[in-house]
Amino acid sequence: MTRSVILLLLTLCALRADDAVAVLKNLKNGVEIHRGDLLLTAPASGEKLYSGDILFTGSDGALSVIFNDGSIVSLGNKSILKIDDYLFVPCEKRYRFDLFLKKGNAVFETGKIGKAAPEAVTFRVPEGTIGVRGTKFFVEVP
Amino acid sequence: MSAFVIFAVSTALLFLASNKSGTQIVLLDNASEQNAIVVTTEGGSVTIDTPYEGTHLDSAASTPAAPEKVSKEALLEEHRDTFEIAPPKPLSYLLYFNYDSTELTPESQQTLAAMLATVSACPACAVDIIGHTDRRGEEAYNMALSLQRTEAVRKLLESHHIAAERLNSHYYGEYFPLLATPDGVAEPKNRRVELMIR
Repeated sequence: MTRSVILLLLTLCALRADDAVAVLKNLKNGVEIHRGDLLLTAPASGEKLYSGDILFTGSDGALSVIFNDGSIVSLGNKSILKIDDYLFVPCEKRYRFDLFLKKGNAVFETGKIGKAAPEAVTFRVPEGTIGVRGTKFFVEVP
Repeated sequence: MSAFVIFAVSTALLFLASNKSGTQIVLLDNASEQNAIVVTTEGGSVTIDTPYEGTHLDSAASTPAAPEKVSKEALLEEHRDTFEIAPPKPLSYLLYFNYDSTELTPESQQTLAAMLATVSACPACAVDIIGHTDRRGEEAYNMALSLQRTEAVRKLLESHHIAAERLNSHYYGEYFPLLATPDGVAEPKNRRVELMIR
C-alpha cells in the first residue's frame, strides 16, 4: 500500500478522537445533559454525546446510551452519570472508557473496548471502582 | 420495548438492597463466557465471576463485601424502568469479500438485499459500516483495505438511496477477526464488512 494511503489513515485516526463518543438512544420524562456551561433541557433520541458530558434523570426519568464501540448504558431515575473520558481509536489501538455514577442506578454492558482492552474500562462510584472483563452489570448508588 | 430486552433481563438477577446503605453492584448475564467484574476500594477488592452475585460498598475505606447471591425477580421489579429503557441489540449483517478485494462474494449480494429491506423499513435507524480484513498481509495494508471495503459498501448503500447522514463508517483492519487466527492466515470469514442497524 502506498505511503499516501497510510498517511491518510493516520489523519483520519487523529480526527476521530474529537468526534461524538455516543448517541442518546431511548429516553423518557425528565432528562438533562450538562456540557461545560451548556445545559440541554430537552434532548431527543439521536442526540450526540461527548466526553465530559453529565447526564441527569429526574424522579421518573430514564435513558439509554449506545457508545461508539457498542457499549450500552441504561440509566434509571434520579441518576447522575458523567462520561469522564472516552477514546475508541482501533486504528491506533488507543482506548479509554471512564464513567462515573455519582448517584442513582445503571446497567452497563461493555462492547468492543471491553473485549479489545478491558483494562482501559473503569466504572467509578463514590466509594471505589468497577473494572471489567467483558461484562454486563447493575449498579446502584444511594 | 421489545420482548427481547425483557427476556434478557429476566435471565439476569437482582439484589435485595433495601437494608444496605452503600453502593450495590450485581453482575448480570451477558450471554458470553467472558463475564466478570473486579470491584475495588481503598480497603481492598473483590472479583465477581458468577452472574447474579453481587457486592456492596459501605465506604471507600472498607473492603467490598464478599459476593453473595441476589434475587433476580426483586432486582427486576425494583428497577424495571432501568432495564426496560435499554435499546434492543443492534441488528447485525455480515458481508463477505473476495481475497484482497472490495468485491462482495455472491452469497453476500443476497445478504445485502435483505439488509436493504430492513433499513428501508426503519427510516429512523442509523447504520454502522465496519470494515475488517483477515490477517494475511501487513497491518497497515489491511487497515487501508478495510477502509476501502467500508467505502465500497458505503457507496453501495448510497446508490440504493440510503441517506449519507444515516451512515457511520468505521474500519478496524485485522484487529477484530470473527475467527481468531495466527498472524498471516487468510480466513474468508474475517474478510468482511459488518453492518449494524440501530
